[in-house]
Amino acid sequence: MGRPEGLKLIDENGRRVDGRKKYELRPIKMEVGVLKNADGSAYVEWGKNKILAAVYGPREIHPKHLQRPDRGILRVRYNMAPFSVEERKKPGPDRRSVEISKVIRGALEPALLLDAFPRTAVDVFIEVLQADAGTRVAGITAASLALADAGVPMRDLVAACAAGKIDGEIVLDLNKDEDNYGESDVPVAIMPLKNDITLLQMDGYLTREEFVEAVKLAIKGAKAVYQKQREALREKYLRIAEEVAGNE
Amino acid sequence: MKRIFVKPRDLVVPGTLLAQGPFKNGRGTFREGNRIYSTVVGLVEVRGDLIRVIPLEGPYMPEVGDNVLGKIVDVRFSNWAVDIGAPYEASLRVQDAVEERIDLMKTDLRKIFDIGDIIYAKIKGYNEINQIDLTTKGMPFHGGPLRGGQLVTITPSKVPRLIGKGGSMINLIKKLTNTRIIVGQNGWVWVSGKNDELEKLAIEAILKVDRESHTQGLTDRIKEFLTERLRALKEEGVIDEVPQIEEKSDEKGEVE
Repeated sequence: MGRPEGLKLIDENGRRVDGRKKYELRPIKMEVGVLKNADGSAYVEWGKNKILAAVYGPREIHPKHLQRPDRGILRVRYNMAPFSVEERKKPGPDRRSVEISKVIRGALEPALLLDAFPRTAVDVFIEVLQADAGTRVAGITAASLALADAGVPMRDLVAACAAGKIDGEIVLDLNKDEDNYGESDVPVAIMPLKNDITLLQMDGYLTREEFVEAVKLAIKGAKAVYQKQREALREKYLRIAEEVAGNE
Repeated sequence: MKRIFVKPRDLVVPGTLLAQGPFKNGRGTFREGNRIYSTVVGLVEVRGDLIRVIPLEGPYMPEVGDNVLGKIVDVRFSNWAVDIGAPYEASLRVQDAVEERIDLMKTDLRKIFDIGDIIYAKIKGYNEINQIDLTTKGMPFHGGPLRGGQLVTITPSKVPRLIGKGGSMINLIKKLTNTRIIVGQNGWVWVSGKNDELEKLAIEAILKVDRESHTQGLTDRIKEFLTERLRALKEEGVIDEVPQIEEKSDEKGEVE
């Protein structure tokens, strides 16, 4: 598949193209409450992925037929900026982003307790500023933080991570090259408290054994992401507390 | 078995295990089996058997009897539509706004409240289909419209903190900055001062309370902050005197 000549995804020492080990995540940075005008927001840097998520609501929605008398609804928009990839992406929703928006909605919805807000909608906007494979899992991670930051009641945070197969081996968290020239990619989103899987997709081919291994690995990765999410949420307030203590 | 896994005033995030056993789960929590988990980012509060989490973010949920500030967003035939920062739009009917009977055909309701006006109202009803009814009867200055000031919004759950124990915090800000402040339960705050600089200072103090609400010793810090800034304003010649307030020892030990 147009793989550059001599490109080895795993070298003799077992290192990947970006120097990571097989079961190593890319460096992840999270920040909560970055947008002043949104009800909740988060910014996630996941390797070379840069993703901004904003949450508005719960708020009354129109047209009225979209309202549900027993609960609030969740609306998600996943969007890639034209400059987020090497070749300029045509702006606006396309087949891919409409599908990703839909699966992300499905990944987040089980965590939300929206029956407290009938006839309303919670709107989530996920903007991919820079993409390097795994934007949907990074997007879910950011959106989940933004929802918690907006004060929308949740059963649990949703954490996500991908695993895949490159050069015949199952590895964690593929980057762009590994995704393009590897054999398979398995993104997984979970609610870690009860190990509920809320998103599970597969691109490429895996044997049944490989698939189970990949899912287990992705869940492990997601749990590491979960810890970072919890820290990021607390960090917003702890930083203020520290600053205050430091002034005295 | 009864166990609590967190301490009061601990900062928790959604999905944190709070307690196990026969506890009552209050706001900001949910129960699964005999375990209680947090559903929001907030501070834990334990009162006897009741465990709840006071959220640090989140929308205003109306309660009957709350005094709120609102903004007129529409003038209709016999009522006004009012934004009060809740997930739902509130409405104020003519008979809940004026004492005397008025002829709707001959009166222009915009002369009473127009679009964009800020009003001070009480929540009269909040029903199953999420209609919010307001009334301005019995409210100070007939509910408004409020003029000559500024509106600031804070997180609704932090309103008790802004008011302080027995009004200690809000009275402190009012006295030191010599401004009139109206606090709505919905987190909307009206600030009007005779002096622009003092008005600005009061707003800064209010936003500081909002930002630092989860920390200890806030009243003292606000007092320090205001006195310092007032001294600077005095040197600049904006004000003549730094207002003095009589020391009261019972201002400490604030909880919310």
